[in-house]
Amino acid sequence: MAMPQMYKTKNIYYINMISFWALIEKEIKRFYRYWPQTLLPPTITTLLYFIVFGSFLGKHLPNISGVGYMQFITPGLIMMAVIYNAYLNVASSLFAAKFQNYIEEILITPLSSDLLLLAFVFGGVARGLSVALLSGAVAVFYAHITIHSIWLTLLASILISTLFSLAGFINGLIAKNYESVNIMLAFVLTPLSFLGGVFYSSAMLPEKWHWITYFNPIFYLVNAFRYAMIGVSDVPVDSTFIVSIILILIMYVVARLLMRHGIGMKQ
Amino acid sequence: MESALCIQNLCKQYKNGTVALNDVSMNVNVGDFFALLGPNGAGKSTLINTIAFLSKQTAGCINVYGFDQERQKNKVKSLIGLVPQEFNFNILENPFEIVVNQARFYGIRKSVAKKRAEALLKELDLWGKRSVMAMSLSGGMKRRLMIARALVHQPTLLLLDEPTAGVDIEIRKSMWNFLREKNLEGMTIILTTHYLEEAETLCNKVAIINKGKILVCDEMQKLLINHQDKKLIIDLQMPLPISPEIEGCRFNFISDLVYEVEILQGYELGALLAQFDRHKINIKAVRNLNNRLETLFLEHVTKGKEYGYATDV
Repeated sequence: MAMPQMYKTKNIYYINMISFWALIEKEIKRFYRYWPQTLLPPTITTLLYFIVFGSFLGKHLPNISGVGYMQFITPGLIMMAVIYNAYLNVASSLFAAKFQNYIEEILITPLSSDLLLLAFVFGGVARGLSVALLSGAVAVFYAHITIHSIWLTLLASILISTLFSLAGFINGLIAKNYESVNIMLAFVLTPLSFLGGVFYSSAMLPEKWHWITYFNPIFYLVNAFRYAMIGVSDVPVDSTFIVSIILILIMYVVARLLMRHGIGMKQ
Repeated sequence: MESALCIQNLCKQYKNGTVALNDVSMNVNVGDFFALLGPNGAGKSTLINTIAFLSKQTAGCINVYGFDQERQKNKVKSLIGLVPQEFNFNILENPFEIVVNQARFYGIRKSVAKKRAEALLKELDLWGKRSVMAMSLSGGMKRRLMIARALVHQPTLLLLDEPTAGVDIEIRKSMWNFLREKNLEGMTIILTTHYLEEAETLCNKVAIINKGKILVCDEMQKLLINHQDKKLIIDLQMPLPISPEIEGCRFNFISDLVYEVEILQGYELGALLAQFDRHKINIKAVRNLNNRLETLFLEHVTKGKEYGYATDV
Protein backbone atom coordinates (compact mmCIF):
# COMPACT_ATOMS: atom_id res chain seq x y z
CA MET A 1 0.00 0.00 0.00
CA ALA A 2 1.47 3.30 -1.05
CA MET A 3 1.61 6.19 1.35
CA PRO A 4 -1.67 8.15 1.24
CA GLN A 5 -1.49 10.97 -1.29
CA MET A 6 -2.63 13.61 1.19
CA TYR A 7 0.49 13.29 3.30
CA LYS A 8 2.70 13.78 0.30
CA THR A 9 0.98 16.98 -0.77
CA LYS A 10 -0.47 18.61 2.33
CA ASN A 11 1.79 20.37 4.72
CA ILE A 12 1.52 20.05 8.44
CA TYR A 13 0.14 23.60 8.88
CA TYR A 14 -2.81 22.79 6.67
CA ILE A 15 -3.45 19.52 8.54
CA ASN A 16 -3.12 21.31 11.89
CA MET A 17 -5.57 24.04 10.90
CA ILE A 18 -8.29 21.59 9.86
CA SER A 19 -7.66 19.55 12.98
CA PHE A 20 -7.69 22.66 15.18
CA TRP A 21 -11.06 23.88 13.85
CA ALA A 22 -12.49 20.39 14.14
CA LEU A 23 -11.59 20.31 17.83
CA ILE A 24 -12.95 23.82 18.44
CA GLU A 25 -16.19 22.87 16.69
CA LYS A 26 -16.42 19.72 18.79
CA GLU A 27 -15.88 21.69 22.01
CA ILE A 28 -18.47 24.32 21.10
CA LYS A 29 -21.01 21.72 20.00
CA ARG A 30 -20.49 19.95 23.30
CA PHE A 31 -21.85 22.78 25.43
CA TYR A 32 -24.46 24.02 22.94
CA ARG A 33 -25.94 20.54 22.73
CA TYR A 34 -26.59 20.60 26.47
CA TRP A 35 -27.60 24.28 26.72
CA PRO A 36 -30.20 23.64 29.47
CA GLN A 37 -27.27 22.45 31.62
CA THR A 38 -24.60 24.80 30.41
CA LEU A 39 -26.13 28.13 29.37
CA LEU A 40 -29.47 28.39 31.09
CA PRO A 41 -28.42 27.91 34.77
CA PRO A 42 -25.85 30.76 34.84
CA THR A 43 -28.35 33.09 33.19
CA ILE A 44 -31.01 32.24 35.78
CA THR A 45 -28.48 32.56 38.61
CA THR A 46 -27.44 36.01 37.37
CA LEU A 47 -31.08 37.02 37.11
CA LEU A 48 -31.68 35.89 40.70
CA TYR A 49 -28.67 37.93 41.87
CA PHE A 50 -30.17 40.96 40.14
CA ILE A 51 -33.53 40.42 41.77
CA VAL A 52 -32.22 39.77 45.29
CA PHE A 53 -29.12 41.97 45.53
CA GLY A 54 -30.04 44.54 42.92
CA SER A 55 -33.75 45.08 43.40
CA PHE A 56 -34.58 44.04 46.95
CA LEU A 57 -31.37 45.06 48.74
CA GLY A 58 -30.01 47.57 46.26
CA LYS A 59 -32.87 50.01 46.79
CA HIS A 60 -31.75 50.50 50.37
CA LEU A 61 -28.06 50.99 49.61
CA PRO A 62 -26.32 54.25 48.65
CA ASN A 63 -24.65 54.85 45.30
CA ILE A 64 -21.11 53.50 44.91
CA SER A 65 -18.57 55.40 42.81
CA GLY A 66 -21.39 57.52 41.52
CA VAL A 67 -23.57 54.70 40.22
CA GLY A 68 -26.50 52.79 41.70
CA TYR A 69 -25.80 49.54 43.52
CA MET A 70 -27.54 47.49 40.85
CA GLN A 71 -25.36 49.02 38.12
CA PHE A 72 -22.27 48.63 40.29
CA ILE A 73 -22.65 44.89 40.88
CA THR A 74 -23.83 44.00 37.36
CA PRO A 75 -20.34 43.73 35.75
CA GLY A 76 -19.09 41.63 38.67
CA LEU A 77 -22.04 39.28 38.46
CA ILE A 78 -21.60 38.78 34.73
CA MET A 79 -17.89 38.29 35.21
CA MET A 80 -18.46 35.66 37.91
CA ALA A 81 -20.67 33.75 35.50
CA VAL A 82 -18.03 34.05 32.76
CA ILE A 83 -15.26 32.85 35.10
CA TYR A 84 -17.16 29.81 36.36
CA ASN A 85 -18.37 28.76 32.95
CA ALA A 86 -15.11 29.23 31.07
CA TYR A 87 -13.29 27.36 33.81
CA LEU A 88 -15.80 24.54 34.17
CA ASN A 89 -16.17 24.05 30.43
CA VAL A 90 -12.50 23.32 29.90
CA ALA A 91 -11.84 21.50 33.17
CA SER A 92 -14.80 19.15 32.80
CA SER A 93 -14.35 18.62 29.06
CA LEU A 94 -10.67 17.77 29.42
CA PHE A 95 -11.22 15.63 32.46
CA ALA A 96 -14.05 13.70 30.76
CA ALA A 97 -11.82 13.19 27.72
CA LYS A 98 -9.12 11.80 30.00
CA PHE A 99 -11.51 9.78 32.13
CA GLN A 100 -13.14 8.11 29.13
CA ASN A 101 -9.79 7.98 27.32
CA TYR A 102 -11.06 9.75 24.23
CA ILE A 103 -8.28 12.30 24.62
CA GLU A 104 -6.29 9.52 22.90
CA GLU A 105 -8.29 10.22 19.73
CA ILE A 106 -6.49 13.52 19.58
CA LEU A 107 -3.11 12.54 21.00
CA ILE A 108 -2.48 10.05 18.21
CA THR A 109 -3.11 12.65 15.50
CA PRO A 110 -0.65 15.24 14.17
CA LEU A 111 -2.43 18.10 15.99
CA SER A 112 0.25 20.03 17.88
CA SER A 113 0.11 20.41 21.66
CA ASP A 114 -0.20 24.19 21.35
CA LEU A 115 -3.24 23.93 19.11
CA LEU A 116 -4.78 21.26 21.32
CA LEU A 117 -4.46 23.60 24.28
CA LEU A 118 -5.78 26.57 22.28
CA ALA A 119 -8.75 24.59 20.95
CA PHE A 120 -9.83 23.70 24.48
CA VAL A 121 -9.34 27.33 25.52
CA PHE A 122 -11.40 28.52 22.53
CA GLY A 123 -14.17 26.20 23.67
CA GLY A 124 -14.03 27.77 27.14
CA VAL A 125 -13.95 31.29 25.72
CA ALA A 126 -16.93 30.50 23.50
CA ARG A 127 -18.91 29.34 26.51
CA GLY A 128 -17.74 32.31 28.57
CA LEU A 129 -18.81 34.73 25.86
CA SER A 130 -22.13 32.97 25.36
CA VAL A 131 -22.85 33.26 29.07
CA ALA A 132 -21.67 36.91 29.07
CA LEU A 133 -24.03 37.64 26.20
CA LEU A 134 -27.01 36.02 27.90
CA SER A 135 -26.27 37.54 31.30
CA GLY A 136 -25.56 40.88 29.63
CA ALA A 137 -28.93 40.75 27.88
CA VAL A 138 -30.59 40.12 31.25
CA ALA A 139 -28.60 43.04 32.71
CA VAL A 140 -29.55 45.44 29.94
CA PHE A 141 -33.19 44.41 30.26
CA TYR A 142 -33.39 44.23 34.05
CA ALA A 143 -30.76 46.68 35.34
CA HIS A 144 -31.18 49.16 32.48
CA ILE A 145 -27.47 49.38 31.93
CA THR A 146 -25.92 51.41 29.15
CA ILE A 147 -22.63 49.83 28.18
CA HIS A 148 -19.69 52.23 28.45
CA SER A 149 -17.55 50.60 25.73
CA ILE A 150 -18.76 47.57 23.83
CA TRP A 151 -15.25 46.85 22.50
CA LEU A 152 -13.59 47.04 25.89
CA THR A 153 -16.35 44.86 27.30
CA LEU A 154 -15.70 42.31 24.57
CA LEU A 155 -11.94 42.50 25.14
CA ALA A 156 -12.33 42.12 28.91
CA SER A 157 -14.71 39.17 28.42
CA ILE A 158 -12.24 37.47 26.09
CA LEU A 159 -9.28 38.05 28.41
CA ILE A 160 -11.14 36.84 31.48
CA SER A 161 -12.56 33.76 29.83
CA THR A 162 -9.15 32.96 28.30
CA LEU A 163 -7.49 33.20 31.68
CA PHE A 164 -9.99 30.93 33.39
CA SER A 165 -10.13 28.52 30.48
CA LEU A 166 -6.39 28.10 30.93
CA ALA A 167 -6.91 27.59 34.66
CA GLY A 168 -9.55 24.98 33.82
CA PHE A 169 -7.16 23.27 31.42
CA ILE A 170 -4.44 23.06 34.08
CA ASN A 171 -6.92 21.69 36.59
CA GLY A 172 -8.27 19.23 34.02
CA LEU A 173 -4.73 18.01 33.38
CA ILE A 174 -3.77 17.41 36.97
CA ALA A 175 -7.19 16.28 38.25
CA LYS A 176 -7.36 12.66 39.30
CA ASN A 177 -11.11 12.58 39.85
CA TYR A 178 -14.25 14.67 39.36
CA GLU A 179 -14.05 16.00 42.93
CA SER A 180 -10.73 17.67 42.27
CA VAL A 181 -12.25 19.49 39.29
CA ASN A 182 -14.71 21.13 41.68
CA ILE A 183 -12.30 21.69 44.56
CA MET A 184 -10.57 24.60 42.83
CA LEU A 185 -13.93 26.10 41.97
CA ALA A 186 -15.27 25.80 45.50
CA PHE A 187 -12.16 26.65 47.49
CA VAL A 188 -10.26 29.04 45.24
CA LEU A 189 -12.40 30.69 42.59
CA THR A 190 -15.54 31.31 44.62
CA PRO A 191 -13.76 32.91 47.64
CA LEU A 192 -11.54 35.00 45.36
CA SER A 193 -14.58 36.16 43.39
CA PHE A 194 -16.55 37.16 46.46
CA LEU A 195 -13.49 38.91 47.94
CA GLY A 196 -12.57 40.49 44.62
CA GLY A 197 -14.96 43.39 44.82
CA VAL A 198 -17.93 42.00 42.96
CA PHE A 199 -20.38 43.30 45.56
CA TYR A 200 -18.42 46.26 46.97
CA SER A 201 -15.84 48.90 46.13
CA SER A 202 -12.36 48.53 47.65
CA ALA A 203 -12.80 52.10 48.92
CA MET A 204 -15.40 50.73 51.34
CA LEU A 205 -12.83 48.41 52.98
CA PRO A 206 -10.58 49.24 55.98
CA GLU A 207 -7.03 50.30 54.96
CA LYS A 208 -5.29 46.96 55.77
CA TRP A 209 -7.77 45.02 53.60
CA HIS A 210 -6.80 47.11 50.60
CA TRP A 211 -3.46 45.33 50.38
CA ILE A 212 -5.02 41.94 50.61
CA THR A 213 -7.44 42.89 47.87
CA TYR A 214 -4.59 44.03 45.64
CA PHE A 215 -3.14 40.52 45.76
CA ASN A 216 -6.38 39.05 44.52
CA PRO A 217 -6.13 38.73 40.72
CA ILE A 218 -9.91 38.66 40.37
CA PHE A 219 -10.06 42.16 41.82
CA TYR A 220 -8.30 43.49 38.70
CA LEU A 221 -10.52 41.46 36.39
CA VAL A 222 -13.67 42.72 38.10
CA ASN A 223 -12.45 46.26 37.71
CA ALA A 224 -11.43 45.78 34.09
CA PHE A 225 -14.89 44.47 33.33
CA ARG A 226 -16.60 47.11 35.43
CA TYR A 227 -14.76 49.89 33.66
CA ALA A 228 -15.60 48.41 30.26
CA MET A 229 -19.27 48.11 31.15
CA ILE A 230 -20.06 51.16 33.25
CA GLY A 231 -16.88 53.28 33.11
CA VAL A 232 -16.05 52.89 36.83
CA SER A 233 -12.93 51.28 38.31
CA ASP A 234 -11.20 51.17 41.71
CA VAL A 235 -7.76 50.98 40.08
CA PRO A 236 -6.23 52.48 36.92
CA VAL A 237 -7.81 50.64 34.02
CA ASP A 238 -4.46 50.04 32.25
CA SER A 239 -3.21 48.02 35.19
CA THR A 240 -6.27 45.79 35.12
CA PHE A 241 -5.65 44.78 31.51
CA ILE A 242 -1.91 44.39 32.07
CA VAL A 243 -2.51 42.09 35.06
CA SER A 244 -4.95 40.03 32.98
CA ILE A 245 -2.44 39.58 30.16
CA ILE A 246 0.41 38.70 32.54
CA LEU A 247 -1.77 36.11 34.27
CA ILE A 248 -2.76 34.63 30.91
CA LEU A 249 0.88 34.28 29.91
CA ILE A 250 1.77 32.63 33.22
CA MET A 251 -1.12 30.18 32.93
CA TYR A 252 -0.23 29.39 29.33
CA VAL A 253 3.39 28.64 30.22
CA VAL A 254 2.32 26.42 33.13
CA ALA A 255 -0.13 24.51 30.91
CA ARG A 256 2.50 23.99 28.21
CA LEU A 257 5.09 22.83 30.73
CA LEU A 258 2.66 20.28 32.15
CA MET A 259 1.86 19.07 28.65
CA ARG A 260 5.51 18.87 27.67
CA HIS A 261 6.13 16.57 30.60
CA GLY A 262 3.12 14.50 29.63
CA ILE A 263 1.44 15.21 32.97
CA GLY A 264 -2.14 14.03 32.89
CA MET A 265 -1.92 13.07 29.22
CA LYS A 266 0.66 10.38 28.57
CA GLN A 267 1.98 7.45 30.52
CA MET B 1 11.67 -6.42 1.73
CA GLU B 2 10.55 -2.94 2.78
CA SER B 3 10.13 -2.45 6.49
CA ALA B 4 6.83 -1.06 7.77
CA LEU B 5 7.90 -1.02 11.40
CA CYS B 6 11.37 -1.36 12.80
CA ILE B 7 11.85 -1.29 16.56
CA GLN B 8 15.31 -1.24 18.07
CA ASN B 9 16.22 -1.72 21.73
CA LEU B 10 12.98 -0.27 22.96
CA CYS B 11 12.71 0.10 26.73
CA LYS B 12 9.92 1.46 28.84
CA GLN B 13 10.15 1.89 32.56
CA TYR B 14 7.28 3.49 34.44
CA LYS B 15 7.86 6.03 37.19
CA ASN B 16 7.10 3.40 39.83
CA GLY B 17 10.03 1.34 38.55
CA THR B 18 8.01 -1.23 36.59
CA VAL B 19 9.85 -2.38 33.50
CA ALA B 20 7.16 -2.81 30.85
CA LEU B 21 9.43 -3.19 27.82
CA ASN B 22 12.94 -4.54 28.07
CA ASP B 23 15.18 -4.10 25.05
CA VAL B 24 12.52 -4.96 22.49
CA SER B 25 13.71 -5.23 18.90
CA MET B 26 11.58 -6.45 16.02
CA ASN B 27 10.82 -5.84 12.40
CA VAL B 28 7.51 -5.94 10.56
CA ASN B 29 7.57 -5.90 6.78
CA VAL B 30 5.18 -4.03 4.53
CA GLY B 31 2.07 -6.15 3.99
CA ASP B 32 2.62 -8.38 7.02
CA PHE B 33 -0.25 -9.47 9.22
CA PHE B 34 1.72 -9.66 12.43
CA ALA B 35 0.53 -11.30 15.65
CA LEU B 36 1.89 -10.01 18.93
CA LEU B 37 1.07 -12.57 21.58
CA GLY B 38 1.70 -12.65 25.28
CA PRO B 39 0.02 -13.28 28.60
CA ASN B 40 -1.76 -10.49 30.47
CA GLY B 41 0.68 -7.81 31.57
CA ALA B 42 3.35 -9.00 29.14
CA GLY B 43 3.83 -5.57 27.60
CA LYS B 44 1.75 -5.92 24.42
CA SER B 45 -0.41 -2.85 25.00
CA THR B 46 2.55 -0.82 26.22
CA LEU B 47 4.36 -1.65 23.00
CA ILE B 48 1.32 -0.73 20.89
CA ASN B 49 0.80 2.49 22.87
CA THR B 50 4.45 3.42 22.54
CA ILE B 51 4.33 2.97 18.77
CA ALA B 52 1.12 5.07 18.67
CA PHE B 53 2.51 7.96 20.80
CA LEU B 54 0.35 7.25 23.83
CA SER B 55 3.29 6.20 25.93
CA LYS B 56 6.82 7.50 25.79
CA GLN B 57 9.74 5.12 25.60
CA THR B 58 12.60 5.35 28.06
CA ALA B 59 15.11 4.27 25.42
CA GLY B 60 15.30 2.85 21.92
CA CYS B 61 13.92 3.92 18.58
CA ILE B 62 10.97 3.22 16.36
CA ASN B 63 10.86 3.65 12.60
CA VAL B 64 7.62 3.55 10.65
CA TYR B 65 7.97 3.24 6.88
CA GLY B 66 11.45 4.65 7.26
CA PHE B 67 10.34 7.68 9.26
CA ASP B 68 11.81 8.20 12.70
CA GLN B 69 9.03 8.27 15.29
CA GLU B 70 10.75 10.93 17.43
CA ARG B 71 11.95 13.31 14.74
CA GLN B 72 9.22 12.87 12.11
CA LYS B 73 6.28 12.36 14.41
CA ASN B 74 3.67 14.01 12.19
CA LYS B 75 4.48 11.74 9.25
CA VAL B 76 4.48 8.71 11.50
CA LYS B 77 1.20 9.69 13.17
CA SER B 78 -0.43 10.04 9.77
CA LEU B 79 0.64 6.53 8.80
CA ILE B 80 -0.68 4.78 11.90
CA GLY B 81 -4.23 3.73 12.70
CA LEU B 82 -4.93 2.54 16.22
CA VAL B 83 -7.68 0.36 17.62
CA PRO B 84 -6.99 0.33 21.35
CA GLN B 85 -7.97 -2.35 23.80
CA GLU B 86 -10.41 -0.18 25.77
CA PHE B 87 -13.29 1.73 24.24
CA ASN B 88 -12.01 5.27 23.93
CA PHE B 89 -14.61 7.39 22.23
CA ASN B 90 -17.05 9.92 23.58
CA ILE B 91 -20.09 7.84 24.42
CA LEU B 92 -22.31 10.92 24.11
CA GLU B 93 -21.47 11.36 20.43
CA ASN B 94 -22.88 9.34 17.57
CA PRO B 95 -20.78 7.01 15.37
CA PHE B 96 -20.92 9.29 12.35
CA GLU B 97 -19.69 12.27 14.36
CA ILE B 98 -16.94 10.19 15.95
CA VAL B 99 -15.57 8.96 12.63
CA VAL B 100 -15.91 12.33 10.85
CA ASN B 101 -14.20 14.16 13.73
CA GLN B 102 -11.36 11.67 13.74
CA ALA B 103 -10.80 12.19 10.01
CA ARG B 104 -10.72 15.96 10.55
CA PHE B 105 -8.20 15.56 13.37
CA TYR B 106 -5.95 14.07 10.70
CA GLY B 107 -6.44 17.14 8.51
CA ILE B 108 -9.09 15.74 6.17
CA ARG B 109 -11.69 18.22 4.91
CA LYS B 110 -15.19 17.82 6.30
CA SER B 111 -16.79 16.94 2.95
CA VAL B 112 -14.23 14.20 2.29
CA ALA B 113 -14.42 13.02 5.90
CA LYS B 114 -18.19 12.59 5.64
CA LYS B 115 -17.90 10.48 2.48
CA ARG B 116 -15.23 8.28 4.01
CA ALA B 117 -17.16 7.88 7.25
CA GLU B 118 -20.25 6.83 5.31
CA ALA B 119 -18.31 4.27 3.27
CA LEU B 120 -16.61 2.78 6.33
CA LEU B 121 -19.74 2.67 8.47
CA LYS B 122 -21.56 0.92 5.64
CA GLU B 123 -18.70 -1.51 5.16
CA LEU B 124 -18.69 -2.34 8.85
CA ASP B 125 -22.46 -2.59 9.02
CA LEU B 126 -22.88 0.43 11.30
CA TRP B 127 -24.62 2.82 8.93
CA GLY B 128 -28.01 2.05 10.43
CA LYS B 129 -26.68 3.17 13.82
CA ARG B 130 -24.92 6.30 12.60
CA SER B 131 -27.15 8.70 14.53
CA VAL B 132 -27.57 6.93 17.87
CA MET B 133 -25.41 7.76 20.86
CA ALA B 134 -22.33 5.56 20.97
CA MET B 135 -23.20 4.48 24.52
CA SER B 136 -26.20 2.56 23.18
CA LEU B 137 -24.13 0.41 20.78
CA SER B 138 -23.46 -3.24 21.57
CA GLY B 139 -19.92 -4.40 22.39
CA GLY B 140 -19.38 -5.71 18.86
CA MET B 141 -20.62 -2.48 17.32
CA LYS B 142 -18.32 -0.45 19.54
CA ARG B 143 -15.36 -2.57 18.40
CA ARG B 144 -16.32 -2.07 14.76
CA LEU B 145 -16.76 1.64 15.34
CA MET B 146 -13.20 1.82 16.64
CA ILE B 147 -11.99 0.02 13.52
CA ALA B 148 -13.89 2.47 11.28
CA ARG B 149 -12.40 5.37 13.21
CA ALA B 150 -8.88 3.95 12.93
CA LEU B 151 -9.18 3.54 9.16
CA VAL B 152 -10.79 6.83 8.22
CA HIS B 153 -7.49 8.59 7.52
CA GLN B 154 -6.34 5.64 5.40
CA PRO B 155 -3.34 4.54 7.46
CA THR B 156 -0.80 2.12 6.09
CA LEU B 157 0.00 0.54 9.44
CA LEU B 158 -2.93 -0.61 11.54
CA LEU B 159 -2.39 -1.45 15.21
CA LEU B 160 -5.11 -3.64 16.67
CA ASP B 161 -4.99 -4.20 20.41
CA GLU B 162 -7.35 -7.08 21.12
CA PRO B 163 -9.93 -5.88 18.59
CA THR B 164 -12.25 -8.85 18.99
CA ALA B 165 -12.22 -9.15 22.79
CA GLY B 166 -15.70 -9.93 24.04
CA VAL B 167 -17.17 -10.18 20.55
CA ASP B 168 -19.35 -13.13 19.53
CA ILE B 169 -17.98 -15.64 17.05
CA GLU B 170 -20.15 -14.50 14.13
CA ILE B 171 -19.07 -10.88 14.36
CA ARG B 172 -15.53 -11.95 15.08
CA LYS B 173 -15.40 -13.92 11.84
CA SER B 174 -16.86 -11.04 9.86
CA MET B 175 -14.21 -8.78 11.40
CA TRP B 176 -11.54 -11.31 10.39
CA ASN B 177 -12.77 -11.19 6.80
CA PHE B 178 -12.76 -7.43 6.84
CA LEU B 179 -9.23 -7.26 8.24
CA ARG B 180 -7.98 -9.94 5.87
CA GLU B 181 -9.31 -7.87 2.95
CA LYS B 182 -7.51 -4.79 4.22
CA ASN B 183 -4.32 -6.78 4.55
CA LEU B 184 -4.70 -8.12 1.01
CA GLU B 185 -5.10 -4.53 -0.19
CA GLY B 186 -1.61 -3.96 1.21
CA MET B 187 -2.20 -2.64 4.71
CA THR B 188 0.31 -3.79 7.30
CA ILE B 189 -1.48 -4.99 10.43
CA ILE B 190 -0.19 -5.70 13.91
CA LEU B 191 -2.62 -7.63 16.04
CA THR B 192 -2.52 -8.45 19.72
CA THR B 193 -4.98 -11.07 20.82
CA HIS B 194 -5.64 -13.77 23.37
CA TYR B 195 -7.50 -15.82 20.76
CA LEU B 196 -4.67 -17.93 19.38
CA GLU B 197 -6.93 -19.33 16.70
CA GLU B 198 -7.44 -15.76 15.49
CA ALA B 199 -3.70 -15.17 15.25
CA GLU B 200 -3.13 -18.51 13.51
CA THR B 201 -5.92 -17.85 11.01
CA LEU B 202 -5.00 -14.29 10.13
CA CYS B 203 -1.31 -13.74 10.66
CA ASN B 204 1.76 -14.64 8.66
CA LYS B 205 4.22 -13.60 11.36
CA VAL B 206 4.19 -13.92 15.11
CA ALA B 207 6.10 -12.60 18.08
CA ILE B 208 5.65 -13.77 21.63
CA ILE B 209 6.34 -11.28 24.36
CA ASN B 210 6.49 -11.87 28.09
CA LYS B 211 7.52 -9.57 30.89
CA GLY B 212 8.54 -6.94 28.39
CA LYS B 213 10.88 -9.16 26.38
CA ILE B 214 10.38 -10.65 22.95
CA LEU B 215 10.84 -14.41 23.36
CA VAL B 216 10.37 -15.47 19.76
CA CYS B 217 9.70 -13.64 16.49
CA ASP B 218 9.39 -15.48 13.19
CA GLU B 219 7.11 -16.53 10.38
CA MET B 220 4.01 -18.28 11.63
CA GLN B 221 4.30 -21.33 9.36
CA LYS B 222 7.97 -21.85 10.16
CA LEU B 223 7.24 -21.89 13.86
CA LEU B 224 4.19 -24.09 13.59
CA ILE B 225 5.88 -26.71 11.43
CA ASN B 226 8.47 -27.14 14.14
CA HIS B 227 5.65 -27.61 16.60
CA GLN B 228 3.75 -30.32 14.81
CA ASP B 229 1.70 -31.93 17.53
CA LYS B 230 2.42 -35.60 18.16
CA LYS B 231 -1.14 -36.26 19.21
CA LEU B 232 -3.97 -36.28 16.69
CA ILE B 233 -7.68 -36.82 16.85
CA ILE B 234 -9.14 -38.93 14.06
CA ASP B 235 -12.80 -39.13 13.18
CA LEU B 236 -13.78 -42.42 11.58
CA GLN B 237 -16.41 -43.05 8.98
CA MET B 238 -17.49 -46.29 10.71
CA PRO B 239 -16.69 -47.88 14.07
CA LEU B 240 -13.79 -50.33 14.36
CA PRO B 241 -14.42 -53.80 15.81
CA ILE B 242 -11.23 -53.66 17.89
CA SER B 243 -8.62 -51.01 18.59
CA PRO B 244 -6.12 -51.30 15.74
CA GLU B 245 -2.45 -51.98 16.30
CA ILE B 246 -0.30 -50.17 13.78
CA GLU B 247 3.45 -49.75 13.95
CA GLY B 248 4.52 -46.22 14.80
CA CYS B 249 1.43 -45.12 16.63
CA ARG B 250 -0.76 -45.84 19.59
CA PHE B 251 -4.55 -45.70 19.48
CA ASN B 252 -6.52 -44.46 22.47
CA PHE B 253 -10.25 -45.02 22.39
CA ILE B 254 -12.41 -41.94 22.90
CA SER B 255 -15.66 -43.08 21.33
CA ASP B 256 -16.75 -45.51 18.59
CA LEU B 257 -16.00 -43.00 15.89
CA VAL B 258 -13.26 -40.97 17.56
CA TYR B 259 -9.73 -42.07 18.50
CA GLU B 260 -6.76 -40.22 19.87
CA VAL B 261 -3.65 -41.26 17.96
CA GLU B 262 -0.22 -40.75 19.43
CA ILE B 263 2.52 -40.71 16.79
CA LEU B 264 5.65 -42.35 18.12
CA GLN B 265 9.14 -40.93 17.74
CA GLY B 266 10.61 -41.33 14.26
CA TYR B 267 7.36 -41.88 12.39
CA GLU B 268 5.79 -39.51 9.87
CA LEU B 269 2.12 -38.76 9.50
CA GLY B 270 2.08 -39.55 5.75
CA ALA B 271 3.39 -43.09 6.26
CA LEU B 272 0.89 -43.70 9.04
CA LEU B 273 -2.03 -42.56 6.91
CA ALA B 274 -0.95 -45.03 4.22
CA GLN B 275 -0.96 -47.78 6.87
CA PHE B 276 -4.46 -46.78 7.97
CA ASP B 277 -5.54 -47.19 4.39
CA ARG B 278 -4.02 -50.67 4.20
CA HIS B 279 -5.83 -51.68 7.41
CA LYS B 280 -9.11 -50.45 5.86
CA ILE B 281 -9.50 -47.75 8.46
CA ASN B 282 -11.61 -45.14 6.75
CA ILE B 283 -10.83 -41.72 8.12
CA LYS B 284 -13.27 -38.83 7.89
CA ALA B 285 -11.09 -36.16 9.45
CA VAL B 286 -7.77 -35.65 11.19
CA ARG B 287 -7.06 -32.77 13.52
CA ASN B 288 -4.50 -31.79 16.10
CA LEU B 289 -5.32 -32.56 19.69
CA ASN B 290 -3.98 -29.16 20.73
CA ASN B 291 -3.81 -25.90 18.88
CA ARG B 292 -0.24 -25.75 17.64
CA LEU B 293 0.11 -22.06 18.30
CA GLU B 294 -1.20 -22.60 21.80
CA THR B 295 1.47 -25.25 22.40
CA LEU B 296 4.14 -22.97 21.01
CA PHE B 297 2.89 -20.05 23.08
CA LEU B 298 2.77 -22.01 26.32
CA GLU B 299 6.15 -23.57 25.69
CA HIS B 300 7.83 -20.20 25.19
CA VAL B 301 6.09 -18.46 28.05
CA THR B 302 6.88 -21.35 30.41
CA LYS B 303 10.46 -21.58 29.15
CA GLY B 304 10.82 -17.87 29.74
CA LYS B 305 9.85 -18.39 33.35
CA GLU B 306 12.14 -21.41 33.80
CA TYR B 307 15.23 -19.81 32.35
CA GLY B 308 14.46 -16.44 33.85
CA TYR B 309 15.19 -14.45 30.73
CA ALA B 310 12.35 -12.21 31.57
CA THR B 311 13.16 -9.34 33.87
CA ASP B 312 11.38 -8.76 37.09
CA VAL B 313 8.47 -6.46 36.65
